[in-house]
Amino acid sequence: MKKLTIVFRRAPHGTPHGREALDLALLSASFEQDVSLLFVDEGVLHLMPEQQPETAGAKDYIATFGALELYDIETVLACQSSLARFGLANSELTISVERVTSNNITEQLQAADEVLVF
Amino acid sequence: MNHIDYQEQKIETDHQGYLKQVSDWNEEIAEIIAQGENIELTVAHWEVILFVRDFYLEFKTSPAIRVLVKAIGLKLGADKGNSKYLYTLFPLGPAKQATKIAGLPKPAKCI
Amino acid sequence: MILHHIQTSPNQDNALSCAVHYAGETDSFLLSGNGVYALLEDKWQLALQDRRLFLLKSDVQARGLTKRLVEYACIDHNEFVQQALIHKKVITW
Repeated sequence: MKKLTIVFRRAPHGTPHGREALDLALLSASFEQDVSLLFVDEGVLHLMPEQQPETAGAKDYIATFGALELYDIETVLACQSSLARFGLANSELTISVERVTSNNITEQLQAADEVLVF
Repeated sequence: MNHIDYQEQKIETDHQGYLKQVSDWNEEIAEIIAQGENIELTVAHWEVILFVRDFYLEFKTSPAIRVLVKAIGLKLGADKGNSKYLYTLFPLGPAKQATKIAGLPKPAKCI
Repeated sequence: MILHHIQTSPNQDNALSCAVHYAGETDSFLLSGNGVYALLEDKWQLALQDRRLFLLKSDVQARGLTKRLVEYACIDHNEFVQQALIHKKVITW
């Protein structure tokens, strides 16, 4: 079992990257890999509550994050300072995440067998 | 255009018989799709079909087979939480057939 | 020890800024493609000054930057592969 960390560094909806990252996460978890998700920089905008992607003609992959637990993806980290930068420091988020420091993230990257950035 | 005939209406499907509009579905249409799959729906089938449909409506994606197995096991008991049980109900593949009867799009990856 | 690989200009994309922000002290950086443009700006020269840093030689030459970036370690594709093997993993940002 490989320790896979998947990093979201881009804002959702403007590019296909976020959706691809989530697809990869669910697929890897279905094949019993140890998957962690990491939201950094504009990637934390995935966690913005009350998104309605379909009103802009985009697919609502944000709703799919709700299924992470059922896929046994339990480690979901978000960068505290990135959240603060976008006004999400004290805000409720779309899914439950662990808010971590930059140092925690550095450790997470070091400990993973593989890191894939989207 | 591929379609299902239902009460004077033509319900649009893709070329493999999956409904184009999730919202077109109802339990009678499910029966019609199931006939086309040679499946006679029992209470056991409905448990899975409704689970898959609820999962899709909540998470906007169909569950992977492993997730389906686990969730059915939790909900309906460990004796039903295995892929053999699901294949007994849906012989050509639970992901494929249960989603079709539930009126959902074909899963992108059949796992 | 991670080799952080950045292929895009820092004005186009947040790849370099993320990599710099989250890299460990012993990690290295490889800039290729438009990523090499970062070193024309003071801000990124400073951010990378204490880092082990490599540039992909062909991309530096292609952009007319050989003289300007003469003080940096430029490597070819074979050396890139060697570096990838020396490091514990490569993260492509």
